[in-house]
Amino acid sequence: MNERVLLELERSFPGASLGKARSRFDGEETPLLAPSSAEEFGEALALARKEHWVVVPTGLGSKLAWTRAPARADFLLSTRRYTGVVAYEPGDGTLTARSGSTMAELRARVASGGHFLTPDVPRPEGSTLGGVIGAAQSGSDRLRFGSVREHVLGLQVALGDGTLARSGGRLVKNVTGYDLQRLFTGSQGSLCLILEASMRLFPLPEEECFATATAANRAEMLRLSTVVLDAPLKPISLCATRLDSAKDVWSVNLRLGGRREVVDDERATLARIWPGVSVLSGDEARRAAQLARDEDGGAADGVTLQVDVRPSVFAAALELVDRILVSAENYRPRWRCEPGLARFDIALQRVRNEPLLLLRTLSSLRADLASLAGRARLLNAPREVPIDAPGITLPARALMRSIQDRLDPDGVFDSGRFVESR
Amino acid sequence: MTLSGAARKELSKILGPRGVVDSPAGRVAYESDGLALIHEQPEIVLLPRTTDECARAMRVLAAEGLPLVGRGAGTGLSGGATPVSGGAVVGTARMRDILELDVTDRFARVQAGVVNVDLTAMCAKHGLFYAPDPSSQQACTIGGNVGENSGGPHCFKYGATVRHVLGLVIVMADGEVLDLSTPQLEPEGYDLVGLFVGSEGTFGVATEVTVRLSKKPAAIETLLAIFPSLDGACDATSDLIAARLEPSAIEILDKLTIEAVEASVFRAGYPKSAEAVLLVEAEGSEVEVATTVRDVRSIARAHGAIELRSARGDLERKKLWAGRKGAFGAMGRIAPDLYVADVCVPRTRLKELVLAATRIAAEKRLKLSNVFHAGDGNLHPNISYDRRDPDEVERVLAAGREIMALCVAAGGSLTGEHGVGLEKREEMCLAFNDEDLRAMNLVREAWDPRKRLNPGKLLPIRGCREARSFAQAESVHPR
Repeated sequence: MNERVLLELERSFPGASLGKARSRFDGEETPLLAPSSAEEFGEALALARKEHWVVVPTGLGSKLAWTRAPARADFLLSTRRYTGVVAYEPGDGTLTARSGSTMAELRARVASGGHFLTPDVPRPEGSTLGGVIGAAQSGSDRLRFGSVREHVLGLQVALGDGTLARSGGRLVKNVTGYDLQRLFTGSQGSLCLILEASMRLFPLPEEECFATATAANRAEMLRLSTVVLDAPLKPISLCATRLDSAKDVWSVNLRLGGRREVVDDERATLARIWPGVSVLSGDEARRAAQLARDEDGGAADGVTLQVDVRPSVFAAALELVDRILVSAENYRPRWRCEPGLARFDIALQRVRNEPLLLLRTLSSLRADLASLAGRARLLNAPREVPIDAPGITLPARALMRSIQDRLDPDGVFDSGRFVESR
Repeated sequence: MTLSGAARKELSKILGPRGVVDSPAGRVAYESDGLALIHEQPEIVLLPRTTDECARAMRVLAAEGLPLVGRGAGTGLSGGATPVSGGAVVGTARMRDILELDVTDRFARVQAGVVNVDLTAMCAKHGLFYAPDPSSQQACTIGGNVGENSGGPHCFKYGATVRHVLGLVIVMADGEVLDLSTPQLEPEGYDLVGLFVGSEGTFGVATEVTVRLSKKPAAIETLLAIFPSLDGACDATSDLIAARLEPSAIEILDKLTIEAVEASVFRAGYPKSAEAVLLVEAEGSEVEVATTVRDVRSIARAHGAIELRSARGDLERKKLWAGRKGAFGAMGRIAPDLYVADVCVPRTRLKELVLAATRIAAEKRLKLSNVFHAGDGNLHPNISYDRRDPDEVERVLAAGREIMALCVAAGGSLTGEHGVGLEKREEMCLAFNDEDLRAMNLVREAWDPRKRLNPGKLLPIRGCREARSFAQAESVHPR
């Protein structure tokens, strides 16, 4: 750990919460500063700029290993103490909150006014609003509500030189100025630190139901999913998980929710298309949905690949990846599919001392997916996995670099986690 | 700035005789967009047919250092497509091809000059539609919609253009082609596509757009609620939002608008005796539509609706919408010109701000009508005027500024769907401070370091602090 950074932070921020965080991959400790005011964030960044330090923005650290582990991090700047609701407007269906607030506390707060905050991420008590936005994390409810970037109405951020800047606003419709919130959402802390966000809210479902069907093989899983997607249903989520990496047996979870009459009608439809499958309702359904959601965590210390393809080649992509992974059984791949989005995640457990085999498998996966115009995005990856991002063309790469150069000319956020590290 | 003879020759070679408009008579058609108050003749108008032609032409302009303004159909209302003196206009009028229609994966790849309504018509037989539906959809282009992040009545449910753009091909300021056309669920790297949408032509010229197509709903019902007061319609809307109902569109038309529509070719059957009508559409499954409409009816009645009519069949539904979308055109019956303000307000404060806009217009002896996307809090206070009367023009602009200031002070925004353009450029300081605008400016420079693309639009010329002290000095020592 960089003791000099720690000492300097202690001296400069005597009242601030200062600690250490251990990286998930290399086990090294990094100083962690958690200010409690926007001004302190600005000062911490101004200090980093002066000292030529690299800062990694974080919330509670649940997604620090997303994309890949930082190549350099002089200290972590955490929003975990910068919490609280700035404005909840039930009559307008909007929420503005400080970025260190957890998704769980915000969801509870807006539920009291009959609202629902998307995305419904796994273990929301350990995920902050800023982290979810910075990583563009999807929840199991993406099928119904779309990406989080659609619902970020405005942001306040701290730039690398410590200045604070806002974009967007608190309104559900607004085209005033550039949508910098779109740029910052998913930028993985490589451009700014998110301080405050305004979000669009949705009606809290009056009623929910949850059903699990078992499929004896992949084809059956796809059939069960297709009948749901073709039916007059508006699922909140439709996720299939493979029960055992060695066997082709799947569990298909369906969550429905909305106004009571609508859900009653949907339940009747479900009984027709999934005959014999028991359907949970009310609190039982909510608990089951929560359990299913919280299992969606990916591998704790391995590699998680998120694959997106066109719906028309979804089945072909699943088959292709399955074929490749037969030879990688050591990694005990865990599968989770969202057929409605034509997306699947594969979590590979890390096997020590076999990085080359892992790299070969990943490279083969990504190359073969490219033949189907599919994209594989790394959610968890150790440092040795190169981020090649084949979908980014040279002009796009140059433009991304140019945006970084201008917004963060001193490289305060240039930790090497993101695709365009300098 | 003038274009050299060699450059003119080169442009003619690239674009052919139909692709270059440089006669004074030909250029007149391009001197303004829908904000006719501001006009300027461009030096030259270029109409490429393909991305390659556009890129080659823009390389010539870059070598000459000529500023340029991208243009779709010119239906924008904020001066975003107003030419720059001595600059070029690059129009997409000849880029009208549908390049790919994938009904299985539900997307279309089109040239930027494809007209909005044509895209929906083209995919209708497959049970699909393109959701953003600005009132000008009969004329406006997909490329123009991208530039402005256009909305429309149904963006209440479906969101504005940015939610429906999956990919873009962009010609950058120096003529380089940025191909972001592959549809993807999550962008690799930064969301350049999302950032570009709504950048009002200051980042590049979009030549191809990949758009998401939506599936037609199983059931649809359009309800017309007739109110004896505009207040009642506004309050009913606020209550619909507070009750968390989810129709697909909530629109309000006031008495003056109704009279104009009913006297025009867009006649929709709105009752002329009404002070306001609320037009609500619900979509989804049969049960979803029935429950939503039942609750809308109940809230409308509670706020004094004197009559509730559901459209009988598709024809009547289309008529009701034709009236709404033709409202701006119909206003031509009241006065030769129409100033369409475009502000957004918190939906809890609709009535208060509609009233305030009415008061401002009355104080300035102006004729104001209202037709707006009530569900989104997107007001369009419309002022009818005659641009040949300079005093009236001055009062119109002053009223527009006052309305914007009032809405921003109430937690609203300068624009909901028309963009900042030239019209609201200086008002940006009401919504943002110098640090916010500096961040935007830095991003603009990343795309276009020489700021040749649509110069002078969207971001204020002066810093906000400087502008404020200038305004203060002006008020103390008027010139």
